[in-house]
Amino acid sequence: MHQELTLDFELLFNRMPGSFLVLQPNAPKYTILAISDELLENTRKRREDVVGRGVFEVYPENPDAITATGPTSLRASLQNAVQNRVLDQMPVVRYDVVDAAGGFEVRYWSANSRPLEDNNGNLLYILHTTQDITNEIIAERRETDLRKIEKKYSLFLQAPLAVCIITGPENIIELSNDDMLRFYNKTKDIIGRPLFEAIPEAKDQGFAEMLDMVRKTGQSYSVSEYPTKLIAEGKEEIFYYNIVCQPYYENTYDSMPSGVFSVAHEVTELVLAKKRVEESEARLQAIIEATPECIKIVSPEGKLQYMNTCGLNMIEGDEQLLGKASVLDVIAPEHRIIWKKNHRSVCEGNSLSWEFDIIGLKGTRRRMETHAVPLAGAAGRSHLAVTRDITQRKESETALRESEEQFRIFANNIENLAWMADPEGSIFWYNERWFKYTGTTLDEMIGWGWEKVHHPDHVKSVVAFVQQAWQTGETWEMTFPLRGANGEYQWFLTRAYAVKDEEGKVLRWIGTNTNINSQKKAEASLEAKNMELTHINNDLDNFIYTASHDLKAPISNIEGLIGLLTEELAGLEFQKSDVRYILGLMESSVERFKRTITSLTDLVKLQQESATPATKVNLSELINEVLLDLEPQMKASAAKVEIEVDDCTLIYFSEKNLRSVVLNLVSNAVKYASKERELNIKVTCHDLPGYHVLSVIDNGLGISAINQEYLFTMFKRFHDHVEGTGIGLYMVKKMVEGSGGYITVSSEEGLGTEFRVFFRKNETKLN
Amino acid sequence: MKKRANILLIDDDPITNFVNKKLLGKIAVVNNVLLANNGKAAIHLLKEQSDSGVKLDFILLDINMPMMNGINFMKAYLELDQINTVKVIVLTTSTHPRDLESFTGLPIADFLNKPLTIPKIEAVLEKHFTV
Repeated sequence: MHQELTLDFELLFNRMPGSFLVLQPNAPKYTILAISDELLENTRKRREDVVGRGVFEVYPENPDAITATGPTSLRASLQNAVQNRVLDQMPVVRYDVVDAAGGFEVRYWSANSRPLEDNNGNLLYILHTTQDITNEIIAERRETDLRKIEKKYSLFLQAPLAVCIITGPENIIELSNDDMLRFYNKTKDIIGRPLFEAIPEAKDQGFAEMLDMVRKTGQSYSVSEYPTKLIAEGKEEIFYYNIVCQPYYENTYDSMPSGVFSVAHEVTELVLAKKRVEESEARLQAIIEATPECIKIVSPEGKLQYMNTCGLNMIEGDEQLLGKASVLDVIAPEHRIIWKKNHRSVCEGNSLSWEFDIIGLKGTRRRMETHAVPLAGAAGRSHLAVTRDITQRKESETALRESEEQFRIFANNIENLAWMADPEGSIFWYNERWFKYTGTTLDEMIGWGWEKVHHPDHVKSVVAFVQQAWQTGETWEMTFPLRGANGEYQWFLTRAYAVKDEEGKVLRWIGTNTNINSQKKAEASLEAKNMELTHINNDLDNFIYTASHDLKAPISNIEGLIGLLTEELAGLEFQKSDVRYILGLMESSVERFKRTITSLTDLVKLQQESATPATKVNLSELINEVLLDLEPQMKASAAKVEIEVDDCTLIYFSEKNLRSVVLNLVSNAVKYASKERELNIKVTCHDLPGYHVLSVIDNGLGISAINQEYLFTMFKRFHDHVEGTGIGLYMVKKMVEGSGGYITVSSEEGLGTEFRVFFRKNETKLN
Repeated sequence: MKKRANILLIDDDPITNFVNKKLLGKIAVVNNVLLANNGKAAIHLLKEQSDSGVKLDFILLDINMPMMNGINFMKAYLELDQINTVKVIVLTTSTHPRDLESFTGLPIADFLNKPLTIPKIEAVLEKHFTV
């Protein structure tokens, strides 16, 4: 029983949970008498190496750790327990433990030393109880550190900044303020976890590299407006940060940073605002540069502070001028005073528009129109202006004005009445002639007022016609009477011309009214005259016909009767010379009368036969035929005829007429031969450009200059010794001229005459 | 015995008729000369003649006549119900185209220009009168 109750105290002690040392109070050695297993394990010792040796021998001081006060405190505690026989509670101490490699391992301990006396009060042992609180201390230390950091950086942490401390190569989140957590949409439990594990989306945005660099180099690094992709409310969005990364040293003596202290300031709003401003400025700049007008800013002193490219082109300068040149230099001298005055006014706060001329640096003069406003600035008000080159507009305005002026002068001075109407036919302008003729005013006439000057009998049809005409949009003409200022109506031909645009839309109507009253009258009288003339012509024709017929009949009768009478008187009475003589005179008178009638008849025939077609006539043959016809006369006058017409074998003329021409000319030569010499007649023909020229030359009586003038006139006869009706040459001339030719004569009295007939060649018709 | 021609003169001018009748009377081959002073009278006479059995050989026809002119006579003559073997010679004062044109298409044997002369008549008779 007793046996069973016997306890193995040594075993119990050794195995008791906790760290215990039993020391002999043999200061200063304090020999270790017993040690619990747990402590052995904690301090990596074996019992046989420890028991029997001094405690400080077994657990020496760590020479590297100045702050490790373990051994000193232990000695003091043991001393106190020995001397004062009290339980000595030690402060938490750092008592590093030699590790397996022979170095020291940081350890924190909470321990007490208890003197153990026997019943007599003799000090037997010191029981040293210790507890390894290294883990608790480290945890506590971290808390303390954090609190310290928090205290130190409290300003930052409370600031609207995302602050975090990342340590180690794994980027453990040591600290993260609420902003940072909020930013990542995370809670505090990410603290202590690796950054990129906790926030995977942060990994591929350059942060890993950034952190590594700072930690490895110990150099701080900062970026501005760093774009960062984040998921906000399920959407990926870009935010901008100004980020400062500084190396973070856990201990002041650490040579290598243990991590990175990072402060990120969100500047998304700013960046976006800045971007907006930049875009807006770029847009504005583009607008200014693209504006085809001069935009400029002029300082109160007149210096050109800014001018866009267009403006610089206008003044024929470049950007070198900006800030230096005086604007006044390019203002035309005669416009400078006004310009200066207006410039001052603008700089005083007024908005103005005016026109002036500039003379570019290369001498080009331009007319400008400017709109200037004051522009507030740091150095007072400047003059901002948009200026337009209106040279062309001015020129075309001038040209238009001149052209309109010319049109007005023209329109007011033409004989016609003139007007203009809008596309609907409402008349808005009349020339002065209109008002002068009608005696009206523009107020009376405007629009459809013209109806007032129309004749009541015509106005309805005119209005109907014109309304139709306005709609068709085509140029139209109409004739109607208009009332003059004196109340009388006169006839006008109105012509309205539709002025159209490129698409054919009527822009306006321009109309003229031409007074055709006299024409109308003249037309009527001309028509009457024409009819009268036709009558007269017919009468004349009838007269000649009648004359040739009705006069021929009685004269034929007289001729016949004379013939009969001559036979009847063949007896006694006829022997008397008077009767024979009288009968002879009667016969020759009848003969002459008949010739005159024949000539008249021939004339009528010529007029009616003028359309005889031209053919190719063999001239040589024709001349021979004519000479054969004239043979009796030729023989009588013993004429010598020479013919040289080989030059023109074929003449383009009516054969009948050509025969008549040749007959007349040759028989004239025979008729008007000189008695003083033998008659020579020469007929030639020459081929000249455009004409065949037939010449009939004689050495006869010749024609005086005065008579030549009337040679070709009807019924002119210069000789009475020969038979003739005075119509031959007139007819020749008519025939030749009727086919485009002409006839000339050259003659000298007493020497002879040459007639030259120019027959027009008609090659094309011949071919 | 030689055959001699029977001739009808149609002319409104009695003097012309007188002269022409005298002239014709001097020509040997002319047998009988009848006179009519217009177309109507001539038609009337022609009808009578055909009844009496006298055969006409020539008609000398003037153009301008009152009542019925030469042209209208020709038209009426062609409408007569008899065989027209008579040769019609138109007498003209001129060769005025207006006159000649109006006879186009009518059976005219010849044209003679006034005044008639013995040689002219003889030539025409020789040409158109075969014995």
